Amino acid sequence: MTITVALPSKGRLKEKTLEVFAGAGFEVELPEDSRSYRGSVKGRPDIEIAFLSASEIARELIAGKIALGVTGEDLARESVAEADAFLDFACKLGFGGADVVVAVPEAWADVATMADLDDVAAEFRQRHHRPLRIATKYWQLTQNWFADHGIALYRIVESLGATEGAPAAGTADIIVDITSTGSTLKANQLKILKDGIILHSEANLIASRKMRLAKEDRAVLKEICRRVAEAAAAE
Amino acid sequence: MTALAQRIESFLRHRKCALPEIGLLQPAEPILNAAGEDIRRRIFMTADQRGRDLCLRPEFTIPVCLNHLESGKARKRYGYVGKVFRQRANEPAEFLQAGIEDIGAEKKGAADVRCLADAIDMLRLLGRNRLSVVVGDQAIFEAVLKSLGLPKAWRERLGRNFGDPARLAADLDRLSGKSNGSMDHLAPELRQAIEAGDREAVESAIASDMKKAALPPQSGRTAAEIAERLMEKAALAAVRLAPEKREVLEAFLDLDIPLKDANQRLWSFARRANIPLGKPLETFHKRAAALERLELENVSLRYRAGFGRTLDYYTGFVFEVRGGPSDDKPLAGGGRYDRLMTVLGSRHKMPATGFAVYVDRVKPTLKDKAPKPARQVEARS
Repeated sequence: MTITVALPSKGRLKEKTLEVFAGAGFEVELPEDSRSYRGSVKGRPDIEIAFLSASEIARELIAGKIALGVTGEDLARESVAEADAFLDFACKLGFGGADVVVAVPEAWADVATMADLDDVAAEFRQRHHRPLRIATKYWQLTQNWFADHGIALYRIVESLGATEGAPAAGTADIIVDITSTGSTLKANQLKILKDGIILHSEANLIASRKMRLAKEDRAVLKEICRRVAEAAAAE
Repeated sequence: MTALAQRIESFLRHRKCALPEIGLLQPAEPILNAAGEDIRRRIFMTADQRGRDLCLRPEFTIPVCLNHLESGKARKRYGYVGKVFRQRANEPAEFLQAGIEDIGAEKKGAADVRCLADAIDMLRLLGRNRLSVVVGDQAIFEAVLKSLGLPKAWRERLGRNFGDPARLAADLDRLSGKSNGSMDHLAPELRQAIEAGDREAVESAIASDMKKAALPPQSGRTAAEIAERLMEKAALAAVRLAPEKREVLEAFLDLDIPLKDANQRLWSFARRANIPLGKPLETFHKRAAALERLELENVSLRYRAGFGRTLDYYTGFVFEVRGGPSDDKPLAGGGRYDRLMTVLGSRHKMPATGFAVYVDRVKPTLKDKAPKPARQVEARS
């Protein structure tokens, strides 16, 4: 029996993941054919590696098509409502850190918190004959977060890039976006609300709750989780 | 059409309701605009080839109101019965709803009473005789807030969360706390201008920030609007909700009494707290008395002061009907939504009230004979 582990297929996320896995004693061997997306682990015929894009990994884990994978917590939580019912966030890997935040124009001097935003959203429609608009690619996270804060009167404008430019472009009033240093937001004269951090995201090792595994595969999965967690903690 | 739907339609015609043709597929835009983005998670969305967002009809009120708006009529009563589609926990997503929307009736008290009476009659038609009704009234809550002398910003926030006890409690905690929003995140010049009460300087500082960020001046919040709220916030930053006022509010929200005692209890409550409730209480009393006069057999009527809907277009009288007081889910719900027509684009205010019956929850048994109408008082307000 083998168990498939999905790892990010490119960039820093891939490098860092391979490092942590190596530290945990799983030396990932890359496919010889650079166009192939299959890899293996040295000395472990019971583990198969699939290289996928980070968002694909989130989707496949949710669908229960792969048992274990590494991807960003933001992508995992964005891909499905009530992510914890589908996914077991086994451990944080200590890299790929970034925050999903609510940011408003700095000129909104009266708005510092979600409570302020609640007031503004409530009277927005009366003043401007349209709801407050939020640019984001994070539909799910935004809807959950605003519902948790009792804010219903707003509209999401889907943004698939350069979200921080939406307020100046006039396509949205505020944004929900991911940021690691906040410098892009600052450069666009946007500020993060004091209690506006929706998620401290980083790369996570995640197990699917939707996949049935044979007993021995389950044991391998647990072994990987334990050793990767130890290696990540030691970093 | 099923026999059940036919029976409901003939009931609706009998009640002098027009039966408009409402499509299963509805434009999503007005529904999302009126109910808010959050409803997106509970409806079934799709798009046509031109990219227009559509959804499966999630309810009838908004489509009926749009239909009325288009007709240009001043007053009309509409009835409907049909499938609606909503993502619900533990209940089928496709279910039958029936109801009446009464749009443009100026005699609000009479329309409220008739609305509840019709809801009860429809439930009786479907075989439910023993019913338990809870009524609420946002106007009374707003009158309490006003006569307690709370600032407008606070009244609006509390009014918005009326009907949601957890959120309301959190609001009260925040307003009772030491700081209602600190000002130390602001640039020193701006803070000085606020402290000096120099509204013009505040506004121009904000305007220059907006310009720096290249925010489009024609869309969204204006410098004047931001300055106004900022000054207001600064004025309230040091103010706290006094404990005795909070007690009054909480005592009010705890009221849960038979409707026939409600008037008396509200009067004595207002007298003890020394807060005149004036016109809203008078309206409430007239309506309650009219409901009592219906002498509804096997129907218990209760008033719960904290009962309301959190959708912001509901403005006054609301009710829910259950098979028994301990029933988890209501069989029918309704109320006054005077703000919806303007939200949907009406140029002038248009009063409206309506109810919907969850036909699937009723588990209808049809009797051969039409039920005795509950309504004996016609249009008395």
